[in-house]
Amino acid sequence: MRFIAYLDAGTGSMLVQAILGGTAGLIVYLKTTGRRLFRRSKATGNSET
Amino acid sequence: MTAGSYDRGSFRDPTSRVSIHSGRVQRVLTDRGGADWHALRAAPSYMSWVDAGMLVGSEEITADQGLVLEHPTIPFWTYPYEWTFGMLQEAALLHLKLLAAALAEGLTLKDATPYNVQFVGTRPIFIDVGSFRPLEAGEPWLGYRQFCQLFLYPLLASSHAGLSFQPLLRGNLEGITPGDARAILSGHKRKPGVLTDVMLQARADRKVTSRDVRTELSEAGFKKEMILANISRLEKLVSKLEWSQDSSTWSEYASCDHVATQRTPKAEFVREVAGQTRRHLVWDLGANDGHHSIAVADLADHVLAIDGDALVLDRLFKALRREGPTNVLPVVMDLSNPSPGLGWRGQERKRLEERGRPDLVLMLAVVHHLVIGANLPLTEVINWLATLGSEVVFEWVPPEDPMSKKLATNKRAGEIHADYHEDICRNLLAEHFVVNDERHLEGRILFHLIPRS
Repeated sequence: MRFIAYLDAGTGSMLVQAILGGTAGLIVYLKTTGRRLFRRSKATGNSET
Repeated sequence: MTAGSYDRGSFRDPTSRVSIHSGRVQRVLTDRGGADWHALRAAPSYMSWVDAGMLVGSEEITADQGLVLEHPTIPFWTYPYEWTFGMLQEAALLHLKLLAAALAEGLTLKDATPYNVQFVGTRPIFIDVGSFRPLEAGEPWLGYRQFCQLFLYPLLASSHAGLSFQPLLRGNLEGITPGDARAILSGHKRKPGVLTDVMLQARADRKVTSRDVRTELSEAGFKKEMILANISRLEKLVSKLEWSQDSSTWSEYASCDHVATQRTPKAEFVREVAGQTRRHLVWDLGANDGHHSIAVADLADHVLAIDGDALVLDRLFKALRREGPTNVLPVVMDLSNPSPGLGWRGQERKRLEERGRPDLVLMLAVVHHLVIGANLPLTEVINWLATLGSEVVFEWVPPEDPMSKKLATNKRAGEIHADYHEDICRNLLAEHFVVNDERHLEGRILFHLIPRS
């Protein structure tokens, strides 16, 4: 169960404004996404070993 | 000053609270609020914003409570659900302009609500100095979502979908959510702002997580230039929006024959009455295109042009912005369903009568709409009018008047309140008012009423 009502609904808006903040903003958005994916794959790799 | 004496519209901000007493507006700041205020005051451009009329003036005063600011009073408070399209648009542009200017000074606005803007006549002014605070490194614009919900989505809904935003803002003080905006605008995806600010945000809303996005963005190199790029984009988007409605129920009313022929003598009577003494605040109820509001504008400090038709008032607002007078403020409000108290305990946003009393009320060609059109008993209407305690210019429109008959076209015998009769009207008026003067005009009667008490 996800307790969405307790989460900050502005979180998504922060990411959207990075996307809408011009080329540099888009790069920042891609960086955050890349870092997340990297962390996730690292965590998955660790749990597999 | 006790906690109970604060204005109920300001208590949500823990760092800055406002009290309004004896015509003085004071803001009490906590230590945090005081530090933010000092950062604002130290900004080299601060005084230029005040001088340009964009930001309310502030004066530090000595008080027991700590740091207190005193602001000039706003002649009459109105809320976004009482504004026209053009007024909300002007308020949005003011907010964006101030935010961009603040960012250039290393400051930001911690929220983005139109309730921080008031209109002095037709000029919007930002009133919440407590919204400014220093911008932290890597911090995004925290008010973007609120800006969308309370400024952008209502404007897009009107401009793209032809929807009236006033009932939506009155129904939810937080504005239109991204999900609701998507539902309203899903058929307009190719129009400006819909894919980017509505669809994208509604999608992001569905994927909300407990991630610390603020830190993630900061670590990834988020800079204020990105906020400025977003603001610049929004300024272009908002300024190009138009509400292109051609006509409404009352948009052509002024060109009706009976209105055209009676305008001049009515305006003369109204000016005669209004000019008997200097008026501070005049309410023109059922103002339509503002003809009588404008007629008394030079005889009063402030005039409210109140009407339920947002289109005629939007045209009035734009005409006033172009040509003046500058002391007439359009207010979109259906008199048969006026703005109630809203928000926490119904006290954050006040009823019309709680925000200030007029010293003169114009009620011209309105009574038949309220009694025949909206089914309000005449007794109710006149009793309410008396509660205002003001002088009144009241126009009696008899049941046999062509416009009364038009309103009654689809009503059967006995479906109009029995008290809609001249004799009863005179008796009701006499209960509460002294008739100082009356003028007969093609079957209609203009009364100058003075309250008895």
